[in-house]
Amino acid sequence: MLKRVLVGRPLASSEQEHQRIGKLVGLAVFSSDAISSTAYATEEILFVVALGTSSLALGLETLVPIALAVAALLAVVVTSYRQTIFAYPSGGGSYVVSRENLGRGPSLVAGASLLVDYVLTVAVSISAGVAAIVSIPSLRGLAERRVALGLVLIVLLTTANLRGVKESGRLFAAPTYLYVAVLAVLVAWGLIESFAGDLPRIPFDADEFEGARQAGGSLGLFLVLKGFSSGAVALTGVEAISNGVPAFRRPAARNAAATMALMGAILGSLFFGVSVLAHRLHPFPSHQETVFSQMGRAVFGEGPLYLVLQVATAAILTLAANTAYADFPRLCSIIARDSYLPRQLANRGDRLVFSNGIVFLAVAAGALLVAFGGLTNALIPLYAVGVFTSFTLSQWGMVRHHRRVREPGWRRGVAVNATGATATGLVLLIVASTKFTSGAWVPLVVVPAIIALFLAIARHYVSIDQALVIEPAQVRPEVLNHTVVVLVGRVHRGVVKALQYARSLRPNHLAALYVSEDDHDAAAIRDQWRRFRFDVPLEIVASPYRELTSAVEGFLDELDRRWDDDTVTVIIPEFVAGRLLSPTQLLHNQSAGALKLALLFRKNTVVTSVPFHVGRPGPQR
Amino acid sequence: MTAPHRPGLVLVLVGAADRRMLPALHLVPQLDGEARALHVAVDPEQAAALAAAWVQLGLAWLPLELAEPGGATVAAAVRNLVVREAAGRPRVTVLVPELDLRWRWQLLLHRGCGREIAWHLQGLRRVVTAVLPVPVDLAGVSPGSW
Repeated sequence: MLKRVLVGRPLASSEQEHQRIGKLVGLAVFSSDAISSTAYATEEILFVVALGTSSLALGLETLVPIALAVAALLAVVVTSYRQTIFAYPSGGGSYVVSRENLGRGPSLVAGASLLVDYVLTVAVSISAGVAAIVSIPSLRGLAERRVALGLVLIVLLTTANLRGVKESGRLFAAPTYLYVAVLAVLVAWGLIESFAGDLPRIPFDADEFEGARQAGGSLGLFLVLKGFSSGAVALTGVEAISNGVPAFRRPAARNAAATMALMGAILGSLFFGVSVLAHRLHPFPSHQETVFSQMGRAVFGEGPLYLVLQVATAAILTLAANTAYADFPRLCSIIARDSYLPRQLANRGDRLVFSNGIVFLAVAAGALLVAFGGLTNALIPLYAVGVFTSFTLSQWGMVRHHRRVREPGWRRGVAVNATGATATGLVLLIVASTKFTSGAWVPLVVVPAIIALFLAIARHYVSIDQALVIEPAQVRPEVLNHTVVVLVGRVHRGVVKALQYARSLRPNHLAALYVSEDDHDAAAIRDQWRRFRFDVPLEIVASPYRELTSAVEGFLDELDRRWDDDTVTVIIPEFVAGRLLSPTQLLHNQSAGALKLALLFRKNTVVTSVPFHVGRPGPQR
Repeated sequence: MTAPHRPGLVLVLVGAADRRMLPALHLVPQLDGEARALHVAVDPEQAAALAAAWVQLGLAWLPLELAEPGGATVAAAVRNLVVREAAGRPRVTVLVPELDLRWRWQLLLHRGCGREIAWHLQGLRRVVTAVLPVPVDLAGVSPGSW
C-alpha cells in the first residue's frame, strides 16, 4: 500500500513505449550533471591558477585560454559521442563500445570507472546541495545535521526515480531549465554591461581572497596544466546521454544525438561565458563566497534575481545526482546481462525501471555520504580520472568500430574519434599526474578491485551454467526413495488434508512429526492421535526451549541417517485466514514461516505447503 | 460449492532446459493427476530454445506449456495461471525448483525466482506448492578461461 502511494501503480511491459522521453525532458534527465558543472568549473580553475606562486591577475589572464581549451575538448567529445549514439543505439556508452571493439579488459575498466563515477556523482551532488541549503542564513542551524539532510535528499531522489524516468524527468525538468535560463541572463547581461562600461570590477577583498597576491607572481606550465585538468571537470556527465539512448522516444538515436548537441551547446557556451565574465569582473577564489555568487551579486545586485540564481544553483547541484540515477541502473543492467554483476540488476521493476540498480546506487552513495560526514568535496578529484578513462576507451573503441565496419564517411569518423581519443587520453595523463596526490590514485585501487569482483561474479555464473548442463539420460522418470514428513502443531482439519496429500505421494516412508514442549504436551497429542485413529505413525521430538526449527532439522538429520533417501518432503499445513499479510495470518503462520525459510536451505529437502482455509469458501484472492 | 470436474494437476515450473528440472521430473511420476511443465515466456527466444531442447531431451511424456506473462511479472503470471487451473480441480500441485547453493552469499547472485513464486502462491485454495532444492556441486567444475 505504502509502496503504491510512493512509487505508483505497476506498469505493464506493454506500457514501456509510453515511458520513453522526449528531447526536452531527456535534456533535463541526462544533462543536469554536465550542466551543473558550470556552477563550479570556472572556480576550480581559478583555485589552481590564481593561488600559490601565481596571483589573481595572472590567474584571470590564463582563465580564458584554459576555458577555450576545455570548450574545444568538449566539442570534440560531444561530436565523438554523437557518433557513438548512432553506432550503438542500444545504449551502454563506453562500456558497450569498448566491449564490442576493444575486448573484455578495456570494457570492464570502462564499466567499473563509470559505475564509480555515478556513485561519486550522487554523493558529491547531494553534499553540494546540502551545503547550499545550510548556507541559507535561516537554515544554518541544520549544518550539524548535514548527513541526515543528505540522506533525506537521497531518499527523495530514489523515490522519484523508482516512479520512472519519465516522471522523475518531468519533476526535475523545471529547476534545470530555470538554472539554464537564469545563468544565460547572468552571462548575457553581465557581458553587455561590462563591455558597455556600466559594470565595475568586483572590489578585491584581501581578507577573503585565498591566494597570496593580487598581481605579479609567476605561473608555470605544471600549474596551467593542473588548472586545465581542474576545468575539465566541466566534462563530467557528458557521456550520460550515450548510455541512455533507449530511454528516448523513437527515433531514439536521432533524438538522443540532437539532445547531446543541445547539451554541448548549452554547456560549452555557458561555461565559456562564465569564464569570460569572470575575466571581466575579477572575482576571487574564496571559501567564504563562491565565484558564482560574487558575480551574481555584481550583476543582479542582492535582489530577487540573485536569490533565484542561488536557489537554482543549489537545485541543479543536487539534481546532478539525477543523471546518475538515470544512467547507473541502466549500465548495471547491461553489465549484469553480461554476467559481471548480479542478475537481479538486469530486472526491471513493476514501474519498468531498473529498481534494484536504483536502490543499489542509493545505498552506495548514502554509505559514502555517511563515511565522509556529508563533506564529499574531497572526492571531486576522483571523478576526472574515471571520466577521462571511459572517454578515452570509448573514442578509441569508435576508431576501431569505423575501421571494422567501414560505413559511408568512415574516414571522417576515424579522424573525429582519433582526435577525441588523443585529446581525452592526454587530459587523462595530465589529471593523473597533476592530481595524483589529491586523490587521483584512489581509482587506481578501486577500479581494479571492482574488476576483480566482476570477474569473480562471472566465474560463478559460468561455473553454475556448467554444473547445470543436462543430458537426455538424466531426464528419464526414475523411482525415488521418498520419505514424507507431515508437521503437526495440533490436530485440526488442515492436518487431515496434509495427511491425505502425503499419502497421495505414495512415499516409501511416511511419518507425522510433533515437537513437544514437555511430557504432558507429548501425552496429550499422542492421546489425540489415537482418538482420531490416524494410520500414520506419529513421531514426537522434545524441545523444552520451544525451538521448532532446530528440533525439526534434528529429526530430519536423524531420518537421513536412518534411511538412504533420495528426497525428503516436509509437508507444512498452512493455516489461511484472511489476506496473506493480515494480522491473523501472521499470528498463525509465524513459526511455520520461519521453519519454511530454514528448510528451504536444507539439502535434498522438498518443502511443501498445503493450505488450509478457515472461513467461508470464496473466490481465489 | 461445485464438485471438482477436472482431474488434479501437477505443474512443473521450468526456466531453462537444465539440471534445475531434474528433482521435479523425478517426482512427477509419484504424483496423481495430469502433469504439465510450465514456462513463462518472458523472452521469446529463450522460450523457443527451451521448446527445441524439450524435444531433444526426449521430454515428450511431459507436455510443455509456454505462457505469455501478459505484462505481469513471472511470479504474478504463474499465480494467475494457477488460479485459473485450480478452478474445478481437486488440487493443483506446483513444483518450484530453487538452486541449493553451498554458500549463503551466493544467493545474492541469483534472483530467487522460485522462492518468490512460492510466496505468491501461498494460501491459494486447492494449491499445494513444493519448493524443490537443486543441489549444485561446483567442486568439479572448471570455469575455463574465466
